[in-house]
Amino acid sequence: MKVTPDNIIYWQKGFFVLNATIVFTWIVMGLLLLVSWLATRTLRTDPRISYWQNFLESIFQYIRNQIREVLRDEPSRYLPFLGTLFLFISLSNFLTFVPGYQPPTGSLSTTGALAVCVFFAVPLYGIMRKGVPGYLKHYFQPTWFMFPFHVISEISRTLALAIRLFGNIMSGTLIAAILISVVPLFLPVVMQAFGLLIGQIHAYIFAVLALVYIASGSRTEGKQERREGDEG
Amino acid sequence: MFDWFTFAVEIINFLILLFLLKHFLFGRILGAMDERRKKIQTKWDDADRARSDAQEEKERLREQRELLEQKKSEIMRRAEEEAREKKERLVEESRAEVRRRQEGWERALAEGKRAFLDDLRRRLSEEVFAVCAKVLDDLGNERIETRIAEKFLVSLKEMNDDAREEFAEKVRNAGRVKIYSRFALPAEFKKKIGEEIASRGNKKDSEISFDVSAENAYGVVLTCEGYQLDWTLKGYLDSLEGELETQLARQAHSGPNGRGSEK
Repeated sequence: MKVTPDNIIYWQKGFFVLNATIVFTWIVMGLLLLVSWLATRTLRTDPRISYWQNFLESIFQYIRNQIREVLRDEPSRYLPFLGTLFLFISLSNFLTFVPGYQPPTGSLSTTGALAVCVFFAVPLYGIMRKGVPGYLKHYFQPTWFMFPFHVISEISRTLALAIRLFGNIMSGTLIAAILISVVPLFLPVVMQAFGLLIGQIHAYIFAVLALVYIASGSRTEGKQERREGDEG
Repeated sequence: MFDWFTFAVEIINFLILLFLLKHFLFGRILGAMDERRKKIQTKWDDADRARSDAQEEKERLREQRELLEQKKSEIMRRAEEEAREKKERLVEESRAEVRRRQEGWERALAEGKRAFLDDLRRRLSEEVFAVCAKVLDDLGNERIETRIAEKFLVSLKEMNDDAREEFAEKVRNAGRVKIYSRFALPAEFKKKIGEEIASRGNKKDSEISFDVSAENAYGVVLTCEGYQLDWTLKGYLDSLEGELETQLARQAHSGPNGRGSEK
């Protein structure tokens, strides 16, 4: 039994490896692009739109409102990053009902890569919003003594982000595999369905946590500024 | 458990997916939403502007209508005033025309009346003279010329004192006393008249002349120094005419076809 799809290797030449994680990542990417193309090929900009576009826009508007509520900022520049995270993880987890499919999110390499992307996105968005000094200042709040703790916090939460997703998806897949070998009828189907729900919840959790981290990188400075403004 | 190569590839994969989805999904949908929002906003603004313009236009038209109503009232009032003035002017002109025509008619009537009376007088005098002459001739074997001469002589003799004094003074101052008649006076009367005049103003017969003039009315006329004494059928008829006019006027005012009812 393979714990991670990294171990399913289709082709290897020296350092380069083509394993299941990479292949299924590409498949998920391809599907996402296909769905995106299908979803956006008939978009109209006049006031009369199709029910599908209306549905799509209402979802996007809902997501934008969620981001705006958390960030207190224009959500358009955060939406592609957070949306891509959610859609990728969501589709990766959703396809687990397909026989032979190995979710890329069941690989620590994938979840780690996503977590690292979030790790770098947090300072990037913070700097974009507040500038380098403004962003760096929050590492020394409320005192310089807190700087190491801030660093540790960011690294640990990134690790937690990666391992949480990996653990849940990997465990779900593993439990399903074990159950199939133990109780081949009925129960694996229920567990699979349960795993689909868990997968969507974790996609949501991952995206929301990324949003919260990005918000924490920007909002701390905002609070500081407001305080200074009140004192002034 | 952890493959660094896969980790790196997955980061690249994610970044590529991020780029592609940003371009093909989020960018398109957000762009379409924003563009649609702008279009709706533009239409909304246009509608607002159009409504505002319509409101302004409505206000402007309302003011124009009020102005036109005022002008209309003013024009109507002026027209009524002009019509009233014109009516009064026309009525006044009509009245003046009626007056003018009435005066013309009255003038024509008066002229007609005068012509009628002149004609009547002329005819009457001729008729009267003819009748009188015939009557006198038939009944008393007398001529009317004789009677006229007698009447003249009587009027010469029967002057009142003032007239007598004035006549005497005129005759005395005059170089010559002229007596005109339409007919030749009988010699007897010439003598009587001459004696009467001579007795008044110490005149000789040679200073008294008797002339026959066809221009004279029937009768005898004495002139000297602007003084005139006469007895003519015309004078007699004038008195008759006065009576006749009085009679005509009375009939015109009292009769159903009198002048007062004519237009």
